[in-house]
Amino acid sequence: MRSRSPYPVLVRHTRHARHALAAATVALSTLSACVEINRGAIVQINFQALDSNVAGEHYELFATVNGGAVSLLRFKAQDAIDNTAFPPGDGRPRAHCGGNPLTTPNVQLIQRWEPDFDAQRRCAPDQRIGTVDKFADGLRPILAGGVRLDTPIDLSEADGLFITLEPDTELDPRPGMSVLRAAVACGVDPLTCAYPEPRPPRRGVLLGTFVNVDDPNDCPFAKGRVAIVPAEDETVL
Amino acid sequence: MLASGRMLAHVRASLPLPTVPGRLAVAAMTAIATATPSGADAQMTEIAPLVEETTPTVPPTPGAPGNAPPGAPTGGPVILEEFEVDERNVVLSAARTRTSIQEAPGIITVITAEEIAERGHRMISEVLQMVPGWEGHRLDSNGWFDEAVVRGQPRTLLILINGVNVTEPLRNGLSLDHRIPVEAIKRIEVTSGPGGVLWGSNALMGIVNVILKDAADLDGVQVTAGGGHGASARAAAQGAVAYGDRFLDGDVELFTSLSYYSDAGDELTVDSRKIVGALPAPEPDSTSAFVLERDTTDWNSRDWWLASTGNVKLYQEVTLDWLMEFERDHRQLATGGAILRGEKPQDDGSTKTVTEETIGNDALQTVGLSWRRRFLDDSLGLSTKAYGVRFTLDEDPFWAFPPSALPTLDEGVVIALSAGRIYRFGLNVDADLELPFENHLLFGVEGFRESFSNTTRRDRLRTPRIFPDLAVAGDADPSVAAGVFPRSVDGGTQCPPPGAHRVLVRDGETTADFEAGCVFTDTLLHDTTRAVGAVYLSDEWKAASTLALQPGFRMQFSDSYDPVGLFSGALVWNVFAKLFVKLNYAEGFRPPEFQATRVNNRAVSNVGYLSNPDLRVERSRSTEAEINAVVAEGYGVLERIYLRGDYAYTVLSDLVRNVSGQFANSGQRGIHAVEALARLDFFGGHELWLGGAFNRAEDSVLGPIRNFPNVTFTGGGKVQILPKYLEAMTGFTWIGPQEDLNRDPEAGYAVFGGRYTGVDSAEVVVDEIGASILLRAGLRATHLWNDRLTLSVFGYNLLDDRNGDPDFYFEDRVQSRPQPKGGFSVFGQGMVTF
Repeated sequence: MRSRSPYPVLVRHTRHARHALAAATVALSTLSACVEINRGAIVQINFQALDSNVAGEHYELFATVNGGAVSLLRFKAQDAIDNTAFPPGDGRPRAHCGGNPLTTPNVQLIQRWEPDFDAQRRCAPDQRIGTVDKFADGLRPILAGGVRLDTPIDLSEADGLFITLEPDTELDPRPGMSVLRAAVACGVDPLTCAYPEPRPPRRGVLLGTFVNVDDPNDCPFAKGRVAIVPAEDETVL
Repeated sequence: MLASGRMLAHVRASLPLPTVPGRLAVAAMTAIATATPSGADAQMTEIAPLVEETTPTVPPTPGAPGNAPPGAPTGGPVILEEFEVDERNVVLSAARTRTSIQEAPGIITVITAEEIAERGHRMISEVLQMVPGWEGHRLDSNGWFDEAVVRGQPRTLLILINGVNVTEPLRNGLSLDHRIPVEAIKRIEVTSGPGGVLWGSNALMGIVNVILKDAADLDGVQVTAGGGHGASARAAAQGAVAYGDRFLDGDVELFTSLSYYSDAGDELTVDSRKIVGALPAPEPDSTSAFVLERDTTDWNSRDWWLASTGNVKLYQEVTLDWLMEFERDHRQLATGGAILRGEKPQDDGSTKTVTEETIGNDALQTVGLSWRRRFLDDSLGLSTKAYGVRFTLDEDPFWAFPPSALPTLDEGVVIALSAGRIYRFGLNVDADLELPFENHLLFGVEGFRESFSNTTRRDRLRTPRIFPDLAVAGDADPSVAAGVFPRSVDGGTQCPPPGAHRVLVRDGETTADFEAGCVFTDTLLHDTTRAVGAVYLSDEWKAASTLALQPGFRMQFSDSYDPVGLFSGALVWNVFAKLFVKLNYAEGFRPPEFQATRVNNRAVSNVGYLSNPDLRVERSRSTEAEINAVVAEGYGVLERIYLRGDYAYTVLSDLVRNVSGQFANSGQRGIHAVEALARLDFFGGHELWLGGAFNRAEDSVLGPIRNFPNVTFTGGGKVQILPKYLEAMTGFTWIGPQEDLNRDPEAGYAVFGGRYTGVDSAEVVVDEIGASILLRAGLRATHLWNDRLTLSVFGYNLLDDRNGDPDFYFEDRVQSRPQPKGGFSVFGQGMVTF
């Protein structure tokens, strides 16, 4: 389109363009959805010893953050078989959690607990949290075990974890009887007596060691180690 | 130019111009430009359509391949924006039509053959390293993958060769290493952002369209030879020969090339030697064992890549093009990070050091046959292309641990993977149609079929002690009828006897074929076919002389996933002169990769994540804004300055990830990206460029994405020391710091008598991988020996930066330490054209 004077044409087209631009901006901005960002943490635990739950009870993992306790996980520890070293019939259920018979040991399995808990679902991806450490055989002649929990709770200011024993019928959300506890701190395990030599701080994690709550020793025996990885991005430039 | 494309299109431009090659055209156009109307109206006026495809009326000058502007047609004028004569400013991918990068409805970067040569790029991954917002040379699985990553999102690219999708469907990716020889590349068009409406599958976050050379690029014979050495690419050797010609008065055009590259691998140093590691879920986690000492890989057996490319064109309408690539690569670093060197116990109590390497074959072959023509007084264009692609995936071994003193692992573990041959056959039909009221309609249909069969896993488990636990009682073989495989007289165990045996697996039993020596084969992937069909429609409407709008829609169907509907919308506003503003909304999707849906969960030694046949496609939605301008044209010593800045916010949804050991759709991710590029062209052929990107991705499951850099810079320059004859180039890429979730060997404890250090799952650490500066410099001597000879020498990673790469998934169990990368190297090359 041409005119004698380019200016009015330019102005008219620019006005059309501005209107279109404004409308497009509004439209496009509404099409962009917001993502609910996880501000939580990864919690990794190696339980060196944890009694399997009897029927009617479960464990609950709490974190202490800013003076308050927040529940992270309710779970059951149970004996199960995930390989073929022991034939069925000895009383332990075969887990069939996908562990390859070549590589997996007998397990003490950690399964998520909810009021609709079903032990038969122990291998569902949203149920199985991990296993208690034990020495393995097969392709892994080393210690097997580990529990991983991804939580949406912000644990960057946590100063401790504790595990309680809860009746399955309990409705009170308050913590029950504590059995294990761990103080956690940024980069360094507060239970320094558990380490023969001082260790350098470890970046990006909170560390701690689980001990029995009623351990009378000056340096309690370790029942498990824990690392918390808060969901933070500490590098930009 | 349109050798890669599916269709012809109009070129919107202002200046009628005869076709001449190279920089002479710039001068000619500039002269003409001063005599013709300028301004916004003139720039957006369509004068005449492009009739034919990419053959210049003047053959390219020998010794200067690629200088002829690709896309220059035969017969009829070429209509281009005056700055479009520079090949870098013409692009196909964004709109599936030929347009300028300033006007294309997307964020586009074009890298030409000349630029590839000038900057000394040896692989496409190095090319992409210099695109703002892209990480070109990113490792995964300790070098098994060498991939390009856009905006911090791996495996989100659609990779095209001459417009054909070559993204491998088993892993939704493709290593962009030496498999596509750079000397056979005409240009690479890089789109940052989704492109699903026009291009369909895999264009989730970006598109890399590699356009191979044709007869327009060479008239004669060209021979290339080179060599080099360094910590990345030891004892490298390269050679290529290419031939281009026309016959029967140009009715038949031929280009073909044969390229060979070989080296003895990278020098890779690990900070701790991994002996055995934890396996991925759903296996229970376990201790990893290390030796706390640095170790460096020895020289590999020679890796090699052999590739043939070709393009035969008949009567400007029918084109046959191909890439046939074959390869072998070797790695001493296994996918889990263990150097395959260990101490194998001997009978006399001593140990013997044994070194092994993996042998990989990820060959790629593709062939395409296309036909295109225009009708109805050039208002209707039709293009069809039939193609076939074959992928090979053989890794022997794929998973390995070295021999060690650990019980049952005295001979190590090797698990091979043979995915055999994966095929994709398809047909694309594309059209464009001029409609009234300044509408230009693009539409088309496509269909393709992917398949593979006989995908096996050939395992050499050199640990016979474990086999008794696998045997199924009642096997037909009387030696195993009791439920155990034969035991040796000393109480140990033997390998099962050759033959088919029933063995226990994850959730039942299966049958595996055993060979001598503890080798057995079973099915890794179920035989698979996937049929896909799609229809798309996009209309470019010139709402005003300075304003173009382009909505689009695509519907894609498959027998493997639910129908996918995609939308796009673009607004391109020529504010004034050569200043453009773009607003763009784009969607993309990625079908679930076959390794996530079709893996046989009952394979005997399958130690990977459980497959899930019910996965949904992953989707992206992106809102983008870009401002670009060409300024300071002819200002003093400046030929021009090209500026580009853009912002994009992208949401990824239904991401496929590992959820407790099984692939599942889970969560969303939001990605903010700011990118900028400035390129200064000086009279005399000098250049400076600088680009940068800021990227922040946050995930609903992982939180902030930490294992990709937030900030990257790239830049460089070219100086003509002796104009036309000698030029110097330097370039850099600065990659900001990243974080990697690993296990900390320093936090371990002595195991096996102190011989190794065991590291449990709670001993994680978030390592910071510091910023990397990859500096490159080179010299090129051109137009020697009567314009026939070009010599070049380049130094890469001059600061010998050895920073490793985090793994793709911020996990510690399998990838327990950062992935090492090679360092400094030098490469020299000579090219002669006859």
